Amino acid sequence: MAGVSPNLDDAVAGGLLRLDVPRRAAFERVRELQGAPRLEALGTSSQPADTLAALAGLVYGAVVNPESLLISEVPTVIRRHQYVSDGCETCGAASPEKLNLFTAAKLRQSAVAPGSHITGGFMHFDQVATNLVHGGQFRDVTADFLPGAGNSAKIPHAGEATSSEADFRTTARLVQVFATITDNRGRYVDDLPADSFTILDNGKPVRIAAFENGTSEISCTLLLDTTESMRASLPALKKAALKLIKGLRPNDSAAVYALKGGITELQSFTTDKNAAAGAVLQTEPGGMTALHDGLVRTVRDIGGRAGKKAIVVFTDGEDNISLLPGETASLRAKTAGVPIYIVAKGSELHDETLQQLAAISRTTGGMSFAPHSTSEMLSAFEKVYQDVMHGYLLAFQPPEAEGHTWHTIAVVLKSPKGRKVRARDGYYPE
Amino acid sequence: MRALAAQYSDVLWLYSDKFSVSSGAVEVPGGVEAETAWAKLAAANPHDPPAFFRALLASDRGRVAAFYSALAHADAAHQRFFTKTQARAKRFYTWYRNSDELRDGIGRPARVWRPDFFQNVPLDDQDNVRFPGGKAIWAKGSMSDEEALLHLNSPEALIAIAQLEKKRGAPFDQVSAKLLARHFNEWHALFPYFEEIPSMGRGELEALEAFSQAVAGYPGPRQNMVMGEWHSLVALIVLGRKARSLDDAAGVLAFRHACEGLLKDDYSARAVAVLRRWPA
Repeated sequence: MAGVSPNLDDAVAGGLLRLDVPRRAAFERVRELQGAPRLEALGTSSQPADTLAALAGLVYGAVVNPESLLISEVPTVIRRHQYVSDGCETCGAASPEKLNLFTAAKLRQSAVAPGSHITGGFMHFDQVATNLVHGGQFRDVTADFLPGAGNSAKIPHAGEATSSEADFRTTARLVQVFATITDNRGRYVDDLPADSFTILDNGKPVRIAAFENGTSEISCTLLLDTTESMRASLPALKKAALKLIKGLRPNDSAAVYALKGGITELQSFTTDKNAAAGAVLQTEPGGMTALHDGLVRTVRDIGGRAGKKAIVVFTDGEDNISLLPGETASLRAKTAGVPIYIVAKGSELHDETLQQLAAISRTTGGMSFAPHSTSEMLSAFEKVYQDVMHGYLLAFQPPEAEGHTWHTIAVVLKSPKGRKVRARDGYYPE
Repeated sequence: MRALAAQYSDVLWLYSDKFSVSSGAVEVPGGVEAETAWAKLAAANPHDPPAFFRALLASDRGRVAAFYSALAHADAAHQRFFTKTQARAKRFYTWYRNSDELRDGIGRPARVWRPDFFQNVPLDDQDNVRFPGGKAIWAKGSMSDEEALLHLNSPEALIAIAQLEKKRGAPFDQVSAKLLARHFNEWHALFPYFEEIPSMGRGELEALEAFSQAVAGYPGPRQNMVMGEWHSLVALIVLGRKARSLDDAAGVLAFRHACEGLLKDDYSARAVAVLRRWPA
């Protein structure tokens, strides 16, 4: 490509691959997300690992979708690619396939750290790329969710404004805190004014820049495990989910996702409750559970919404098919700070999983339940509904931060009077 | 029919989709000329359809029906070839019947390729087997086509290389075909790439052989690094071919440079240099 362009990166993208404008943007985005060096940045003393990441980055950029969960959530996919087959699962140690230098690309799924990775060359890589799980709408997820990029609220997209969100449009970056207040008898307290609250960032008070109370509309995501193991419980789950949707107010929005061998968006955010209910009704049991992927996807999708938000998750099984490890899901949930309510069928899950899910709920300001019967499940959904409908949204401008370490958040009432506050417990600053 | 369905439901389920009767006779694979061969295999006359199908289902616990189905799904030329004589039909049936696909019963094992073999053995216009690179590299001495097929080390390689030859639109020379056959187990995943660079020949395949032999001896980390760069460069060549920015000749040259350049100690610099040399 010498003589065509002085810039080798441009020559590959434009001259060799002939990428059009949208594909070129995706190409650059993949390389950026994965930290693939630019060819022009490679010097004579570059490490072979950097050159490999640069070269492989060109192929990944040309083939994979930057919106896929694995690529956008795990920045080390390219560097963890094992080109020499790391084992044919079905053949013995002495098998020629163990040593094969030219195997086709294969996605090795793992829901535990360090998570999924790709093996083999790039033969059939396009097919692998289609299985990396669509991660939702293309957004600036790095800025929104990665540690160090903060969990601050961005200015909502144009056309999504409501009057109650006006305050959130005046500041470029705000940290959102959803808070639920109950009195000493467990009843929700909805009528507190903004000046009743104090927010402590790492123990220091910060100015509350925006405030919404329980009357403002909410965006609610339902993430329902409809895998095969749910066959018996699905009718009760549908009933509970439909009741929750029916209880939403006219301006509230709902989205419905199913975990069924992956993550499927059955209904994007809508104020049409009949459409949301229809999505719930159409679910059928089947497939395996990808809870980690589902959590990340729904956190990403709801992250683009303005105003109050909540994610309601129902699951009855251990994650057995996610591309992303549980740590990634926990981190994304924690970083986004959207309250996550988890109803996990207690009899079907390991204690460790239940604790992990409870921790996700706690750190995000949500609640978790582990019902053992249908009646307990219906009761849990009722409590979730009540909690979702009663809450405050506060926001503050994060102070200048050094580094990207975790900042604790505490929401306190100036006149507690025995009231309890539940809210997220921290955030990562930009 | 009801009794047959109950007794041979597995055979019917797996192998009966091409059962056909016309003018009072079973339409056997290979046509009228093959009726004698099938009568011998099934021990029943195709002109007596009820008796023939009953015998076919029962013969050798459904294995004859499996062979019948494999051939029935082939084109007329392949049906003619494998049923040309009673003896040939019997030999290939025995070969199939004793294979790991049928030895233990008619349930399909995980890895099934012999039906594909019956349907895709490369044949020329005269219904003779077309051996890529010549019969000499596939068979010993003066074996007949039939014997050569029955004694192949890798029947899958013959099919795949013949199909590759067909897709590239030009026959391989003897050395190229030999290299492809010898390394089929290692290289078969690369065949879709080879289709995209149809002018690749002996020089490039020899370069690939030298490259893979050298890299096989590298320590793990360096092996992974070199192979990653090689796979990246070759994938870019193929993407360039698909984008029509690289012509066939340029693709061949780039492939060769990738194989040769990445054998050097400064392989990373060479890999980038390969990119810089490509026309765009």
